[in-house]
Amino acid sequence: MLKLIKFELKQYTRPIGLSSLTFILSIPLVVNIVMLLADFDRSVMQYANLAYMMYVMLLATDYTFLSSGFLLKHIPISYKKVYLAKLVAHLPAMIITTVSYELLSFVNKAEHYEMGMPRFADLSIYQYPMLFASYIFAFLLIQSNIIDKSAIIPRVIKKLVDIPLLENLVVGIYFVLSISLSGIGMISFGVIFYFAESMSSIETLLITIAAVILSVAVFYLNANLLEKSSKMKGECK
Amino acid sequence: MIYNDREPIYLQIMNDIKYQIVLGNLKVEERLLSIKEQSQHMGVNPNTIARVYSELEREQIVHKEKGLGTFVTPDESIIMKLKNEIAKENIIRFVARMQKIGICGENMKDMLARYLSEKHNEEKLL
Amino acid sequence: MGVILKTNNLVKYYDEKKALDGISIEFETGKIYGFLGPNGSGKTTFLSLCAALLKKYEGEVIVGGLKPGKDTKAFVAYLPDFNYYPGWMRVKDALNFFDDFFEDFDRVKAEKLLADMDLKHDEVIAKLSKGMQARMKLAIVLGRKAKLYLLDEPFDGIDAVTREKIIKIMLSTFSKESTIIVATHHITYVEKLLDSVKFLYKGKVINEFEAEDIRHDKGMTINEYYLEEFRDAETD
Repeated sequence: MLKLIKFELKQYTRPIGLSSLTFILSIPLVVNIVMLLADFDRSVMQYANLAYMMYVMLLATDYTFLSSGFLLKHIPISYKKVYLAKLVAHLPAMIITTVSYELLSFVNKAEHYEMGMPRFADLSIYQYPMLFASYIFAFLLIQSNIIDKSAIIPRVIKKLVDIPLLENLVVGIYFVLSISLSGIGMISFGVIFYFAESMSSIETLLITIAAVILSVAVFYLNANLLEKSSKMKGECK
Repeated sequence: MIYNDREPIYLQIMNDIKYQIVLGNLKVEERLLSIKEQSQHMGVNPNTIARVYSELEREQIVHKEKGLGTFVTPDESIIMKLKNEIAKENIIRFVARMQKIGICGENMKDMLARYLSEKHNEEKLL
Repeated sequence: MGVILKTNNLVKYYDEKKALDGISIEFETGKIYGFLGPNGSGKTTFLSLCAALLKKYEGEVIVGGLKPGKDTKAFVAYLPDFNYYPGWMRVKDALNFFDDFFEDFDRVKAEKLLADMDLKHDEVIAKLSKGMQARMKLAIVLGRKAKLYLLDEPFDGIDAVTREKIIKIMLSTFSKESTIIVATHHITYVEKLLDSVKFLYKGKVINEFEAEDIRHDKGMTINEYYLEEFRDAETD
């Protein structure tokens, strides 16, 4: 188990040719501190942090998983343990995004009511569980591509588009969109921000749950699409 | 030695080993390569080699010493027998080919005798 | 000699497509098998199922007395026909990976095989030439003392020298306690390697025989026999 975590950590620190845990650990902290000191417009900081969060989620849920998926399928360890190891290895990323969000909340507490911006402080009770929950869902479901690819295939898409070229285009766009949306905080946060002033806590929570369920569906379909598209790449044996 | 994939490979290898013994390249009591070594050396399935060794042992051309390996028989008479077998095969082939072109019986014997004496004279001159 | 792998009426669907159509075959220990057929005949699907990489199927698959799963992965070594190492891994990372996760991995043996194949520890696997990648994949997998080796097209896209080296290390790994199944459509390369052959066509095993029997009975190479059989199969 420890070895698995070590292996995952190793992978995680090499995303898309970029490099290290240091990079991931320090960027949001540094950026937030700099922006605070430079007295940046709060909305700029907000977007910067959100963008960063999206980046980390993208990294964590997409590349690092997929790149080791097939290799890890070979080892005599149950998939549950593999998922768990991946989760544990991504704790640093989760913590970082949470920390930077916390910083954002801290920064945003007082001034915002006057500025008419969403009240981050009020949201924070729901943020963390949701963040973690969506992270966990994202991880587990992206890993569904480890499970037999013939489980469920997005027949909907397939039936909608019969022309191969168009199908690939649609599949491609869908894929890109769903990966972008995979920082599922984005959907729910956006909704919550928009309605924050007028919503009660319960409503906020419900929307959060709905967003998470949506992310589950998105990921599941996404994972199978990835399987399908890799299968389409000429593996016809 | 290149093996023909159309005939049983184990037979070809057996014949090859017999031939090497008769030629003296494989000496009396010499240890053959282990099955594994032989298979890697020839690029041939080890079970095929195992079969070769078993068959050769059955024909008493080699004998296996447990833990030590497979050895060429020390029995000169068996090697002589092998030699005669190969010689006979050569003769059968020679005769068949000569007969195919219409040279038979006494004619064949004469040609052979003439050739042998010519060759003998040449060698004497060298 | 026992049976290491047995399937009973194995059927596998990909959506509506039937990739394997009722395969019932056995593989014994201590032999080298050729699982031969053209592209698309189902070889990879079959091997993937036996390697527990695919889970859904109908019928029975028994590997070493067990259903394919995480426990069978401990004694089954599968070699896929593509590079399955993440882009960042170097040869030494692959060595460490196998050492960490496979109990039957013999690091000393693997190191020796890698050295035989002129592979250096620091090389990034993804940056190696196709031939070197093929050597590397095989050297690592054969470094395992597995009971069953499933090699999927080990000869694809490699030169004659690499091929000879690969055959040599396959033979050096072989033992009476293990079984090697080579799935390929390059039959001429494996003529001397195989004990037994099974022909796979469109998801069905259409023939099984011992290699030497074909030579003895028909005076044909396996390849010639293959061409004959598959020509007939196509015209059926």
